[in-house]
Amino acid sequence: MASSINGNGFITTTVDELLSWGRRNALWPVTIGLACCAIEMMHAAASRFDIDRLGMIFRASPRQADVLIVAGTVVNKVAPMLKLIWDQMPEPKWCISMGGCASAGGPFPTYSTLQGVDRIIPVDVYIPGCPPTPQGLIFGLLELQRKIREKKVTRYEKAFEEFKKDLSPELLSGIGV
Amino acid sequence: MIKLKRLRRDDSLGPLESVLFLDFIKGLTITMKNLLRKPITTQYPKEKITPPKRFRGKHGHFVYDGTEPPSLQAIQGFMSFEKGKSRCVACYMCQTACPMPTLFRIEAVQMPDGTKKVVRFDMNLLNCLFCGLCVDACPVECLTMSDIHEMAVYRRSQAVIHMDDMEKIGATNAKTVRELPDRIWRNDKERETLWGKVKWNF
Amino acid sequence: MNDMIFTAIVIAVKILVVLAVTLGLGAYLTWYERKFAGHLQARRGPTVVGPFGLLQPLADGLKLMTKAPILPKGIDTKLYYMAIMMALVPAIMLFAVVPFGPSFKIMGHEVKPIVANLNIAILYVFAMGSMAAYGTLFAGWASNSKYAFIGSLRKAALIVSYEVVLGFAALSVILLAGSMNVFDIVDSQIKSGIWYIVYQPISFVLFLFCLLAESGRVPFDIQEAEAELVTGYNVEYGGMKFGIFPLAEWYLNVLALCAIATVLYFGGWSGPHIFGPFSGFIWFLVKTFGLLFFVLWVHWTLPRYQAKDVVEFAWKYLLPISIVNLVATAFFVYFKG
Repeated sequence: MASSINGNGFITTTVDELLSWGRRNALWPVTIGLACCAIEMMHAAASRFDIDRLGMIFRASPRQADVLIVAGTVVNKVAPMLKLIWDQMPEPKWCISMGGCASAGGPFPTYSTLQGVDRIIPVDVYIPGCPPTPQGLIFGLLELQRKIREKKVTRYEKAFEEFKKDLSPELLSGIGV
Repeated sequence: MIKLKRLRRDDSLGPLESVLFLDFIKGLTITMKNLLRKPITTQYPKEKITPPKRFRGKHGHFVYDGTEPPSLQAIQGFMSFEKGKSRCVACYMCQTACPMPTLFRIEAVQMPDGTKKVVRFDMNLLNCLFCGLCVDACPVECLTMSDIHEMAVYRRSQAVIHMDDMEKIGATNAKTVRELPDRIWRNDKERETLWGKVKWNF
Repeated sequence: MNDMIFTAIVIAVKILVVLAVTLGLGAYLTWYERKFAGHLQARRGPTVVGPFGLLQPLADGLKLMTKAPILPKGIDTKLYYMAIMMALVPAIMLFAVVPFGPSFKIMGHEVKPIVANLNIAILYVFAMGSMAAYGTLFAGWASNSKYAFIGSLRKAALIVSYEVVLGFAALSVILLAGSMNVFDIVDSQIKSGIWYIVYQPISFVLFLFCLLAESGRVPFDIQEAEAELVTGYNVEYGGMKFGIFPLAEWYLNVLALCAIATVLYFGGWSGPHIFGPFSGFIWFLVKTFGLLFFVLWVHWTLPRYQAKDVVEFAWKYLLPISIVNLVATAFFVYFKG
């Protein structure tokens, strides 16, 4: 059991460790499937690559879920609905943007597509691919579990700190941050 | 006056069947058989499936090590290559063939002795479709795709791959994948167990 | 005085044991259901979290308890909180009349492994089963959402119709046994040597349907039809407030009603004495968990009924069958002796 909590071989039992163990082993995604990536998400939940092994049950209501897997193209019409669903989720929540369309607009640089869901929602893990294979999605979920264990990101201000590292200094001073 | 003929639906249950719930019991036996079967899951982090030979995953560059095609040897005098580094000639064919305008960022400079050297080759994988058109368009067989499909990153800048990671992929992963035999089965007997007896009609 | 102290201690110990076992067992029944559903679908259930995924309910509980509490706008606050208790308490109270085995002797006093040996035990079961509807009703009304409201109305219609059928089905067994006390029912089965399912197969099938309907299990779980109602009445509950609802409804209610079904139809703790001194308890557990296995098997195989068909099924088909069964049993008992 020691190696399942902490790979070092001994148990560190601060409350934070215990809570992050509970949170990363019982991540419950919301079923938001917008486009083709949703089919690969269904493949990841079906019998061949099973994410119920990792403890993830898909819950239909956002109030009962932890992680929002944005799977598919986010169009400008659907963006306010997605933001509403993100706002309804209770606090320790994370977001995974799956596929090219959700991460950066994908192959659709048009006026009607949102170029990446991180314009409206703070994203923790980006998964490239069109669509990413189910193994790629499960790898992304394991990366999220590693992030929860190591960085203990529970508030999205911390995710915003990470995002700011990618921006240039003039841009940051320009937007007054 | 048209005579209407009443068709009898032959999928409705007879009286005996509906009292004894025979269709429910048939369904329950199917699931019971499934319960006693070995599960078909591939437990992902512990057991990984090898993708097929021509899988389109993360891109790689083949390196300049003596195995170039004749199309490269023709213009070798104009380029400045280093042994073990990429053999890209910066012809921008991949960027032209790509459906996405913003994916590739290629820059080349002129060296003092007149030859051309590629200094920057970035690909933004978040916009990539993994269609493989760039690989088909490369005239010197430099750009290729490996079978790496686990590419999740924490920040957007980490999803942009540069020439040095691509050379590493080309030198190791893509080369071994290319050298696999073309068939996924070792002999005809194994193929028969997978696909049944094939009837050739010639 | 000594007698009274002894009885008080025994009752306190019984209550503690029942509470601890049912709440712990309720959590681990989630593990069992997920593993069972997994193997039924040719995959494995939770395997990563502990050995065989045994620590999965702990991780779920920890996560649910540390979620941020949310209160949607426009809810009826008193009913919102009361709904949770109204769902959980009747489910736990059902365990008060479940006999776990034959009576045994400790220190000269005879002790029956049942928390409350009521003479109207089966009537108490019906009462607590009907009160399970209140949890859903309050939850649906208090959430300021039309989907939740529709879900809870469906559940109310379901429970009202299937409660009547349950009454008539169990009444046939009570006629045969002659009393509503659980110990008398089991003793009459042991004495005559034949379990009541042999005499009353139709009544057992009706009781099984009512068990599925009262706990909100497929094929009667129209109150949380996901494609239509987005998890129904608990759509506005998050965190542990949500976690109580499936625990109480799907697991504790089913377990208690399965136990009552083994008492009524399968002879309680009767069985050959092959397990030594505790064989009564072990047979009881084997039979209850066998019936639970069947309920889970049905859940993960059959699709869901349509909302208009469920109530029609109860009033038009099941109720006449149960009344005919009751009248036939009454004639049989009158002419037999």
